[in-house]
This record gives sequence, structure tokens and C-alpha cells, in this order.
Amino acid sequence: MHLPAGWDSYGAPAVKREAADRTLQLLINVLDEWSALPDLLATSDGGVLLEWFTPDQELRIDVSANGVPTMFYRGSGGTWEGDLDEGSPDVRELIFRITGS
Amino acid sequence: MAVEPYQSPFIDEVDVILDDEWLLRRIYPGFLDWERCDADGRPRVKGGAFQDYGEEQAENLGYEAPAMSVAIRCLVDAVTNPSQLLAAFGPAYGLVAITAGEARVLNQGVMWRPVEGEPWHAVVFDKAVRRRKPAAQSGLALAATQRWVIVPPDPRA
Repeated sequence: MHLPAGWDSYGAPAVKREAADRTLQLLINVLDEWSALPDLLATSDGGVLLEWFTPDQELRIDVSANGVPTMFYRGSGGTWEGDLDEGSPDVRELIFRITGS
Repeated sequence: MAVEPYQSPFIDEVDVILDDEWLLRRIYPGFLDWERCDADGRPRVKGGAFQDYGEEQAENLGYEAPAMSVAIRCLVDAVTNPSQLLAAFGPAYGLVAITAGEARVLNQGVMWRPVEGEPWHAVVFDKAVRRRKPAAQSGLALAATQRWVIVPPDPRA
């Protein structure tokens, strides 16, 4: 999360504090001690990107620079994309489905 | 009340940038998945490598909406070579290509937008939404993974 501005070679800003704080809170909420950790990346607008990936399935959570999370899931049953809130698919279940842990 | 469909301010220049034109994109090392390499040892490119600029940066660059920078390969080849696109960055950065046609299949448009010192510069934009969503980013990354131009050294070696 200490990437300098311009980290992507296209001038992206550094990760914003609000996004980092919300990401940490999110990880505490959805992971337990057995959960597979995601790849932790930055987004081009100062947010944070979390990715769990296998060739058959992909779960991605983008936390925007101002801390709003959205979710994208691709699996055998199709894709789901939208805000991460009470109406979203269960993230813990999806992580388990993708990683088996 | 019906919602008006999104109308991109960019123009997809289908008669200028043909479907078989190669578009080059630099890849930040963090967007390379070295745990999943192809038979030739080249890493998977993560979808995040194909994000549009954020709103603020797009505005600062003078764009009418978020978009993603690429280099039109034939214009690069006319004055230099693709490796020059990486010259100012570390050796861990990679360079991949997608064709304009592959982008268009994913409902993306391509517009030539030369900037100072980069006559080859163009933007790829989403025709349906203001800022490209992860599904389209993943689709572009899947195409790019099969079209490596400059593969960085494996950091595990």
C-alpha cells in the first residue's frame, strides 16, 4: 500500500488512506484464519483491488479511493457484478468455492 | 423512468484503426501472475492491468471521460521500437498487445489521441459504461496473455 504516485507507469495516484482502511476492515470481516489470502493490488484511481483467482473462477473486490467496495465474480454459473452490500453473494462462500479454504 | 443509454464522448475510429491493428500496453509487475504461466513460461496478465484512468486523472489529462492509454504498434514501429516504451521504467515491467478487434468484441472503442512525444498514443474506452468494469478488464487481459511482446524476467529465477 506504499506504492508511490505513478506506480503503474501511467500516472496512477497512490492508494488513499480511506481505501486502505476500508480494505483492512473488509478483510477482517470476510477472512478467518484458514482463508486463502487474496492478491492485494492498487487501482488506477487510488483504491485497492483484491483478487482470488483460478482459471475457472475469479473473485475481485475493488475498494474505491473513497472506500466504497464493488464486487465481480466469474464462475461456472456465470458472472455477478455490483456493489458489495447485503444484497451481494456471500463473499466467504465464494472464497471457499474458489480456493477450497 | 427509462434511463438513457450511455453515450461515450470518444469515437471508435473503426476506419482509421482497423481490427487487426496491434495496441501495446505496459504492464506493472504487480499485475503479472507468475504462479500461472503458459507453456512458454510467460505469466498470466491480471485484469487490473486494463483499468481506465480514474476520473480525476482523466480530467487532468484533458479526456472527456475515463479511458486507458495504449500505443498503436505500427506508429511505434515507424519511429522507434516497442522496447522504448519500457525504457523509462524498471526491467520488471512487461509489454503486451491486444488487437483493436479483440477490444471491440468486448464492446470497447479505440481512438487515436497523440500526445507530445508520443505520436502513437491512443485510448481504449468502454462504449457501454463510463469506466471499464472488471469483466471487460478480464477479457482484455485474457487476450493480452496470448500476445506477449516483451516478457520481463521471472522474479522467482
